[in-house]
Amino acid sequence: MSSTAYTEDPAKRLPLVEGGKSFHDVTEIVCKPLEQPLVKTPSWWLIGFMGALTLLTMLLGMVGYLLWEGIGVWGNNTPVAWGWDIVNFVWWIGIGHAGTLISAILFLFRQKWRTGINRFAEAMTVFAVMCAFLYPGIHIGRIWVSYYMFPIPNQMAMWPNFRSPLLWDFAAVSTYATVSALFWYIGLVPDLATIRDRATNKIRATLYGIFALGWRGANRHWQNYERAYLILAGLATPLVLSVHSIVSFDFATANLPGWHTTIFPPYFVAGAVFSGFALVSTLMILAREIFGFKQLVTINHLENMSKIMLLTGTLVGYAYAMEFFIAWYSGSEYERFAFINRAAGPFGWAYWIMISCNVISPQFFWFRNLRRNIWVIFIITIFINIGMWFERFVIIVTLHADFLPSSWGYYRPSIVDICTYLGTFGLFFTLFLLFLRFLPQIAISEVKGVMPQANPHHHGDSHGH
Amino acid sequence: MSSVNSMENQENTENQESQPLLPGQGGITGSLGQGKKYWKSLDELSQSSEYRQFVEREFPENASELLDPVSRRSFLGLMASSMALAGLTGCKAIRRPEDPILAYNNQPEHVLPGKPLFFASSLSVGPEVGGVLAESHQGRPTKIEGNPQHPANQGSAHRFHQASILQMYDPDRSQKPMFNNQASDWNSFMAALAPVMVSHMIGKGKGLVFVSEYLTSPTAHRLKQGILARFPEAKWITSESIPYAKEALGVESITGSRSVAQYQFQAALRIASFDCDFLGKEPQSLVYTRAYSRTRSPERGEISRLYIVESDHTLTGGRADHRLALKPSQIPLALAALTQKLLSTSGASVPAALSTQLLNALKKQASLLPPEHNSWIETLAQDLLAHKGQSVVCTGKYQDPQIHALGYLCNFILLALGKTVNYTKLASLEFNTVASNPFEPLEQLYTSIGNNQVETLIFINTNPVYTNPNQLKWQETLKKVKNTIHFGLYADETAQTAQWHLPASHAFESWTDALAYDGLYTLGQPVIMPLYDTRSTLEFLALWAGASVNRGFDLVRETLTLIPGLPFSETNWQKWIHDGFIPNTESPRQLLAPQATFAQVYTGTQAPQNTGIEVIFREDASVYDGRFANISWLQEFPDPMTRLTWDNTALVGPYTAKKWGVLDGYFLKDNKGVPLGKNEVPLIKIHHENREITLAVYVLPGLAPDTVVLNLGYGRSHAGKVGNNIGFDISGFQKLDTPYHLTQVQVNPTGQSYFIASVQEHWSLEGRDLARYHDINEHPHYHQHPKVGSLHAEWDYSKGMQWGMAIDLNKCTGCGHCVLACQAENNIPVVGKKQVSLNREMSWIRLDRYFVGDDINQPAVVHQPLGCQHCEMAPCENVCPVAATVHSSEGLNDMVYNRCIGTRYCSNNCPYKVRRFNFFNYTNQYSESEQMAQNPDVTVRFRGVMEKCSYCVQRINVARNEYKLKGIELIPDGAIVPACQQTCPAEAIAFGNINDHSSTVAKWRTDKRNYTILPETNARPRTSYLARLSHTNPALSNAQGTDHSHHGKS
Repeated sequence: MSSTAYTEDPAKRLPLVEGGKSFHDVTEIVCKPLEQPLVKTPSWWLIGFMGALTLLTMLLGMVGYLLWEGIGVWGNNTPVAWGWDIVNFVWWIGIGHAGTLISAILFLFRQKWRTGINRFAEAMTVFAVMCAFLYPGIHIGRIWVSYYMFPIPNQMAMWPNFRSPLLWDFAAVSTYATVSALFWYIGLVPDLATIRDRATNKIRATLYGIFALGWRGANRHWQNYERAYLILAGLATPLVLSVHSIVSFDFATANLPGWHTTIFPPYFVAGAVFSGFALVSTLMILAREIFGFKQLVTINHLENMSKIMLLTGTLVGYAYAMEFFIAWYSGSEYERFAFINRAAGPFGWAYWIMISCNVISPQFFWFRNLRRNIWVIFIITIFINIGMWFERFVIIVTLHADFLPSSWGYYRPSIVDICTYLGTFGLFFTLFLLFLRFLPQIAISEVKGVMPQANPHHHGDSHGH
Repeated sequence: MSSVNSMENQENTENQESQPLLPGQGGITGSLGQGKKYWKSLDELSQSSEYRQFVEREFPENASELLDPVSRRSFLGLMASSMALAGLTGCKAIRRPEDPILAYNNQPEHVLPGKPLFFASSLSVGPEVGGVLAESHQGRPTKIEGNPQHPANQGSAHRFHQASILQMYDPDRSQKPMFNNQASDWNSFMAALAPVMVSHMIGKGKGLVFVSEYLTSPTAHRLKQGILARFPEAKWITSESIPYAKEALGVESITGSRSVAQYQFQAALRIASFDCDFLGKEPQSLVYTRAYSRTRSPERGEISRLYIVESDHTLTGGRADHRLALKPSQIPLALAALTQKLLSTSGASVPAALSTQLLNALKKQASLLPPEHNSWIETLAQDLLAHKGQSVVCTGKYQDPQIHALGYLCNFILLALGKTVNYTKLASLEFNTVASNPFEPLEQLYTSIGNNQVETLIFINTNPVYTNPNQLKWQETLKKVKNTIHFGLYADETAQTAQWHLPASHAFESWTDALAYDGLYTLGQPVIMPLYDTRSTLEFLALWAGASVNRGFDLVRETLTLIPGLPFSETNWQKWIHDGFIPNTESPRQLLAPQATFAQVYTGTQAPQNTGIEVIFREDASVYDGRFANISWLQEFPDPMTRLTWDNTALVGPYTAKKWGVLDGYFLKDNKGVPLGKNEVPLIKIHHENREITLAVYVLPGLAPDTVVLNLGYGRSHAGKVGNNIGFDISGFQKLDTPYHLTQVQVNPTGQSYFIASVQEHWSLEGRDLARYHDINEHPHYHQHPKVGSLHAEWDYSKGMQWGMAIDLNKCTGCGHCVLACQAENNIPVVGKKQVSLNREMSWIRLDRYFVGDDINQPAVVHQPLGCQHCEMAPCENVCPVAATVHSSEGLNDMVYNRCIGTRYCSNNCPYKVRRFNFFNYTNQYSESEQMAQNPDVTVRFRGVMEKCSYCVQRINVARNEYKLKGIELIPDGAIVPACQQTCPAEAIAFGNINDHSSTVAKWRTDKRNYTILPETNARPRTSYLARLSHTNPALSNAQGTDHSHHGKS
């Protein structure tokens, strides 16, 4: 690790933006893809968008079918009453973790390299949370009375059950979704104003103008903006920890072997950051290739992210090992069985996929030349995403064999489960492609803020404006 | 004999806490004293890798499987829903049933809305007659209970009784006469019948043949006599496919009296059964279950000890303290060996003329028995002799008459007659053709048809085209008969080949009478007007008899007036109808003496060596001989031993399956050696002589080696929508002269697989302390889990009425009648084979069955009925986000269907997994008639809600109202009886107020055998269990060493 990265003087740090770009260059690079006229929309985008829309339509069809027929169209059964629905919910929520971490925690820790990737990560967060949110909505047996979950006054004089982790879960995820969306939007405002100002036609200027909320770049605007951003970052920081902790309570507060464990909250948070960073990296690698952001999102960014993945992956690996140790140490035959069964039972294959992808694959990031190799990062992040999906799968199918052997069963997803999951990718990519096409993928104002030119005490060798 | 007894006791004391005791169970070892693991031996067992692999044969594959499309729903529906979703008006997808409620204009007498009435009636299945009560809501019968006063039921109802209500409402029953499979009517039939009848009257009935089911009704018999008087040359044949006369003929051959045994198990301390499944498939199983279970109560002193020799693994075998699994051909040898030993004891009061001659024959037979079983038989003989007058030998109804004769002789020597067994006439037997082989009379008929001696053939409630071994032959043959008439409930296989099919009224739609197995005169009254244009059997017979009256009601009354000595009067008639039977009409018991002539009759079995693979045929636990094939409740009833639903398979033991190569290691496999999945079993081909059959194999531990058990009653082509083409038709594989037993069959795996639906794949307890089981001589100290507190405020359950249940595993035989009772009482839907295979069965009572022991070929069996445990700290309750499952102040875990949104979290968090989710709208497919079978006191659940055992909360509420009105604060014990407890023939369930220390349930809860499942979860269940006891013979355990269980491996 280069020691120069840690000197006080920004001039001596590794540059966050490479290639000696000016402020204007940054604006040009970021705005180029979204300022292309509609008729000149690249064909790869159109093809991708059609594909995503097709999947989205399939999702609608699957959800409609589910609502019409009942939960039976999925593979859920009596020992395994939650299946892919909750697996995918937790997976998407985990994906949605990176955004807020990058935006909020790294912001508070003054990690300036975050500026290259935060917009992207936040957008991904918002869309992933939307995909995740779909599942608790549709997985219940009687969706038409789902409002029983809300603490609203009603003729039955009934409160929901505040002891239920599902209620906490609902509150945590919706709070997280709200704050993430706000955070993303607030960060967008100066950039939207930039696009408005560059607009060449009236419609464009008006549309972007509405969402730019009258931003003029005045000192007072900047002052308020910075304050708001800081407050939201402060608000979002505990949420990063809370949302996945609370999601983990769905399992940890249950009394089942393999679920009832105190390690779940930190382990879930680590896992969520792990999977979130993996998907950000995957998408970022693609985007910087396609849009030519290589000098804004440098290999240093990717290396930093790899380091975080190495850390969180190892944490997750530690948690896996600790679960086994505690199961043995507890002396409970049910706990012991649950873990042995995880690794050697009928779903052992899923367990070993999880271990290979989550624990083994990030270990390659110990090597500097590997974590600076785009291809290695790309492949490993794909593995991590697969591995983290299997982690949730492994946890949930632990249900198949709990206390009473007579009730043990097996779980298989149905075709509807699979198509619904694929459909959520349709939702995700539809939104994501729209984001790529119409919104600045990189936070222009923030990147400018970390360039040497922005440093008022700069006397160095750079030729900024 | 007393010396044997005292020695035994001494040994018991010595062995206590150190010797493994149960056959194949291993028992509780010395580690008990240290209070660590009660189930050490089971634990060790579950770690033996062979056994582990075997019990985990499930799920080797991980391929995902496409869900079958729910084809009945339309694509349009899907699209509409998608559109609705897109428009955020999802409510379109909710289909709430809307129906008007109609009130009475004129209130009938005695009928109070909301208050059911109960009517006594009766039902016959083969020779067995049940006395039942039909619960009627405003004229609509909804449930069948056992008649508490009727000695054949004593308040319990067999699952066939329970399910018959659904049969009555079955929309597939025939609703009008059919002529050549075209709808017709009764008038056309009468018009067509007149010339036929006239010509037969002229011909004195020549060429007229009646083929009827086993008649139990004296009125039917009287009408039959009338018919035979009117048509003197007509023939009457009984057609049943399950043997009914073998025992009576056997007893006749040795005593001269055609009698059957009425076992008095309540007086028995030692019971030896030879293929007699008296807790399951034998007649009077309800009576026997009650009597037997009472002998297992340790409070009553010494508990009984049950020995069984069998090939199948039956419920009775599962309860046995010592079980010897022998090939079917060896069972007669084992009984011969026992008889020989008993006969040669001094003091046997058998006439010398008989004993000397018979001994030689028996010796010859006994010598054919593999010698390793001698000590077992010897010990059994000693034990029986040591309990003369308190021991009994039972013989099974599929065994040949000679076996029953030997059984009788054993009982005679054991001084059992009049004490542990009574021999009485089976009064209804004289109404029927008596043949050891029930197919024999039909075979004679077949010959007559071939000789063109039959002109008119009438089938009454019988279906020989399906049940007869020569099915194809019959279909062809019937075409040669000029007039064929079929009268029955369904347009079944026989009806398809007959010219006329006439619809019969169901037993609950008709007046009838019947003689119970012990001869008790039972009356059957209708509980509803016939739903369709049908006639009752008696009315149909009256038509032929030309009786002066033709209404069932008059016919039954007329019979009673004709019985000499019966005090028939209007008052008595009212009382008899009310009670359902006429008291003191049982057949008298006889003290029969053996006749010396039997020695000449007794031949023993022929050449039982080199029998190769043997096949036995048995009635099915769910559909009997196929007559209940269209009742979905029974199709989905899991066989108590195999836990299979919707199927019959060839059952084999693991030893045999391995030998055939369908079990590789411990996985069922296909011909390429690829292990099959959870819902797949291999298909095999069985050849015997010129017949062959292809069917699925299922492995049932404990079956005798080289033995295949085939259950009858499946594979029907014209049973109805539910029962058509379910399982395999094996009737055609039976052989006419030995219909229930084949030897030297060849078996070839086909390499194909077959889809099955079992509700429990896992066989082992995994060494877990769930279904407790110990020997009577052991005194385990169950570890009491310290009461741990809770984060949440605790409710004070020490006040008021607190409901609780206790289930005595020592009494429970696993018969499963409770499962059906619960289904009928609580409107539990049937989900079908596919859904069962996906683990979505809805039954509120899961009758868990575990195999325990260290030899998978000779395991012991534990059954454990499991409904909602009504935990005081219910794990389901705190995870429900909408408080849809909450605790009542009386300690019930209530399920609020209206509040449930279906997150299924409660099911995940239930340690017992007793919650059932409505994955689909299972109830919207009910026909109008099936809807009438629903209990109006219980909500019919919509899709998307969770449900589970409620302790029959509707019954609790009825009692609460009743006693509140009476001003009584505490409901007395026994006033509330849940459906399962009500029907339990074993009296294994107690329910009541646990705060009332005089209640049965409170007393059971203080028993030292009382325990709860999974106390470590701190759920504090209200249902507790009493550990099962075994009563092994130390002599036998010692003689066989620690591994007691290799008898069956010869």
